Amino acid sequence: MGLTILLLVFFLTLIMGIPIAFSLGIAALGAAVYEGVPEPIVFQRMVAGINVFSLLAIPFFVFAGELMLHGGIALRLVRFAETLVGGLRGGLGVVNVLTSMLFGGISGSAVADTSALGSVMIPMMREKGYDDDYSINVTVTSSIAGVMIPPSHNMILYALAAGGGISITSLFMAGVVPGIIMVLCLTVAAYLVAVKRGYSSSPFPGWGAVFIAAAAALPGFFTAVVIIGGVLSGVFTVTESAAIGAIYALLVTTFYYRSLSLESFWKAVTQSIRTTAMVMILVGTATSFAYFLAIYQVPLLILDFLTSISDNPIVIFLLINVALLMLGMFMDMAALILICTPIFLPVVIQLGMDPLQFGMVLMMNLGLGLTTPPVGGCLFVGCSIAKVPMESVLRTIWPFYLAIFVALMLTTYIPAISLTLPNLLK
Amino acid sequence: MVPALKTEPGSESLHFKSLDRLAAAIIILGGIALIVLIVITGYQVWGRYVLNDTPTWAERLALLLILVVSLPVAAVGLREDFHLGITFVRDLLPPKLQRIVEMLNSLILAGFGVAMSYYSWILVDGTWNRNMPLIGIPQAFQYLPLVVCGVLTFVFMAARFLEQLSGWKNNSDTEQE
Repeated sequence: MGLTILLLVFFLTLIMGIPIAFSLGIAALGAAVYEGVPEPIVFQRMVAGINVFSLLAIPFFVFAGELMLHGGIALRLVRFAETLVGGLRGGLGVVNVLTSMLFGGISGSAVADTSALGSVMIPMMREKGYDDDYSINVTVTSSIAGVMIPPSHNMILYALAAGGGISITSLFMAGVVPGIIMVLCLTVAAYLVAVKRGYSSSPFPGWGAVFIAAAAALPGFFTAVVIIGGVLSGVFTVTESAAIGAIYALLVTTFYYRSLSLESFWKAVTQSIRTTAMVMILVGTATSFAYFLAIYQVPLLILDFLTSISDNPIVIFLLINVALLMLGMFMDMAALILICTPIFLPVVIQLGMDPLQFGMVLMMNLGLGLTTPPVGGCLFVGCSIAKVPMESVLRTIWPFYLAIFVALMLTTYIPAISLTLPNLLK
Repeated sequence: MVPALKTEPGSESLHFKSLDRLAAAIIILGGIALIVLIVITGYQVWGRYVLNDTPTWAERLALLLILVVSLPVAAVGLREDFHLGITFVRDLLPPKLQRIVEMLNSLILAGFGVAMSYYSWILVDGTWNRNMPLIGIPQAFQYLPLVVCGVLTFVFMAARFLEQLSGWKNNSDTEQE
């Protein structure tokens, strides 16, 4: 009965339109009242959930991402990718995918990636004769690379939700190969659709132009190198790396590119604290909610349910993928990472999947959810930048969904894709 | 996901401008705290590698600051509608029912704000005499931002309810005329 109350209050307040972070807290409070658990525990768990040192990396990542957005780094990355692969047929589609991988590596957020690159790429592609639906399809789907390619703040959330037993460095490394595979699948899709639609190619500008564009983009891109290098070398913790990365991005955009005004700096600061507050309160209330999920032994119930359908891990992994995809279509990624990890992780571990691999499967599924209706954040942002109705985009997005699905299946059923790199670096 | 508590701007005749100023002030304080947070973490690295003297207080203080940055600003998020939620089910309802649900949401959230501040105050009270290691200030300071968040949630949502109520009355009057 307590579990019913927890879930009922959560879903009811959620569909009424109460923000998800608060729905989780209200549901946890409801369960505490019903079970006779002292109510202050709900709020004590909230503070305990937020009060984790590695979580401090999130505001720094978000701030670095905002600086990239307002400080002109995104534009320079696009220019570099354009000179490199813009000469291919449908080259701007491939440029879009490639830039998403480079930029996503820095910002770590799919929605930020769509917003930053979409505002540069979509008008540019329109000018060169690409259809709007194609430009949005590529921008939106390739933004998932931001979630997979390190550093990604969603992976920090996953490590936290997994109970702190997973190394964030290993998680970062586990995302590289699945991220690259996904980018390759999307590149193939972007190229094939471009060929089918007969988009023209532009002449290769020469290696001199590539070199100049690379030199301009490199100082900005070095932010990712600072962060990843700091973590991998063990010189800094993830949090320290993120702070150093943010300071570095600030110095580059202010003194080297000279493209960050005081106004844009403050805009980046205030936008960062809004995003941070949004994520942190979610972390807090999700921790309280997860406390009750553990009391009600929900992972065990899910395992019993799934094994009653089939005892074949391949089938169960497929069912979990379907469940995550469905949830991802309706709810925000950060919230689902915090809610689904304590539920599904013990189940998949029981069935022999490594937590690092499950992390990648989770990210890809939930990332895909950001690009699907009815509540896909990236899809909304992409459509609103191009001012195109969602229906016309959805009619032609299928090849790109298929590309991500292929990458997802490979990541789900071939453990080596996620595990080889972290194992090599151990 | 979309902003969850969206109410059409201008649909209410009553609007508490002082609360907009309060929200703006909290955002400014949060922004300053974020900058301090980055400086502290940067200084921690500087202290360890350059000064050969790791500031042990830095990590503990940073953890306290993140609560200060995020919790009151999260309450402002209710005023500014930047939290994410699911609205497409509510949007399917007839307009009048939508407004009733929105008003109900404001009341539920205001109630949650009261509960948050009350139960967090119990935590503040119970930890006032215990100091946090390394920085020597009462543990109660960990829970104070939650009390502030609860109070602000109540204030913003009670005001939102009154604003919605005045809009409701105005609409009813217009319909009768």
